[in-house]
Amino acid sequence: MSGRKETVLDLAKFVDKGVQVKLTGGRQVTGTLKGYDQLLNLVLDEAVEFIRDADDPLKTTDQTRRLGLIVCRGTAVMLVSPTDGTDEIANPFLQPEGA
Amino acid sequence: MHFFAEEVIVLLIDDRKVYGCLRSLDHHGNIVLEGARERIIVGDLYCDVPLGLFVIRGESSILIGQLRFGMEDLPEDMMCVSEEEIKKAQKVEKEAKDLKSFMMKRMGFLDFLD
Amino acid sequence: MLPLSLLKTAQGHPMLVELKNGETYNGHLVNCDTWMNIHLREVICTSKDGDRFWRMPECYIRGNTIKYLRVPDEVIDKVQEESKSRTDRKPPGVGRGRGRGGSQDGPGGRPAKGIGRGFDEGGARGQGGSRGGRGGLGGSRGAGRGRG
Repeated sequence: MSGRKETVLDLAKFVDKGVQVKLTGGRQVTGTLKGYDQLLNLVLDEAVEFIRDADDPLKTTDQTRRLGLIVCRGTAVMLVSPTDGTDEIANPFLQPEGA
Repeated sequence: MHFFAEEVIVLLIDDRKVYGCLRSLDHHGNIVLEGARERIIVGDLYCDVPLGLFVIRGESSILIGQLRFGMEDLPEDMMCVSEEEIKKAQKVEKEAKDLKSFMMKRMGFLDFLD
Repeated sequence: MLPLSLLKTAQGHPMLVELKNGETYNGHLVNCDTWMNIHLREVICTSKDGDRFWRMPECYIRGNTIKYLRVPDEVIDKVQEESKSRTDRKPPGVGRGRGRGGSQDGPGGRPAKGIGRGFDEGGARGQGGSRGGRGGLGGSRGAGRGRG
């Protein structure tokens, strides 16, 4: 698996699959992972960016814009996760009433 | 380094105040606190929220200070409330702040709002 | 024991990671490296304001975006067991579980609450001097933090 170096996550298994990437500064992109390197530079195809709230640039809205084929600079990547199985859910931490 | 196994306070970059027993520190300034608590203060209310074992990334702490015994006494008018109450107070405070910044943004040209 | 060896030991345990942007991630640690990059499984992501939640099967977090991590209490004992096999055995009662209850004559007479372990048990237990052994594991919790 991974050596002592950088790769905690084996990105190979995400190749040609949908991934969601969060970037420093608040941008959020999804796309198909086409390639990557050990510095976490990513190549995404059919990338879609979530437009951010005009008042709060850290918040994303449901509006999107298409970016096409892009490279995400590794130093700006904060988070990578597969889109498959990622869903917005209701608050899972709420204690049942009267607990 | 002589802070080890001492009660310390760590001020985080988001202005939170965390207390705990200093267990470890490395050359990046990463910190391990055992039995950590966050002290939330809103106005004259406060609450210590237990956090347990806490690892703080070096970049996100502003200061680490030793807590001397007897110095933890708060002013008389501070009142200890439950976690629920402090969260509520925090929410109210945030909403007031948001409202104010919203008004300032829209109505900033009217200087009486200051 | 370094912070990063604690994280290494925490592999397989649930934990909460808060990023500098305020988002929190609850999940089980799969792996981490010397940059504090982290791989989590079975993740619940909470937005900064604690009003939106996402479930994701796994995620990779770059170390330099992390603000802090909350780790289950028992992990520190595991690290110590591991390091004990390397270093000399210390006499019991030194180091761990040491309270500050000694100076009860401090000003104000306010009970020295929440020092050492068991901080949320209030009263009697939290105040003892050095507590032998590992009783009174207060503050038991999942890594989950009920926000919102």
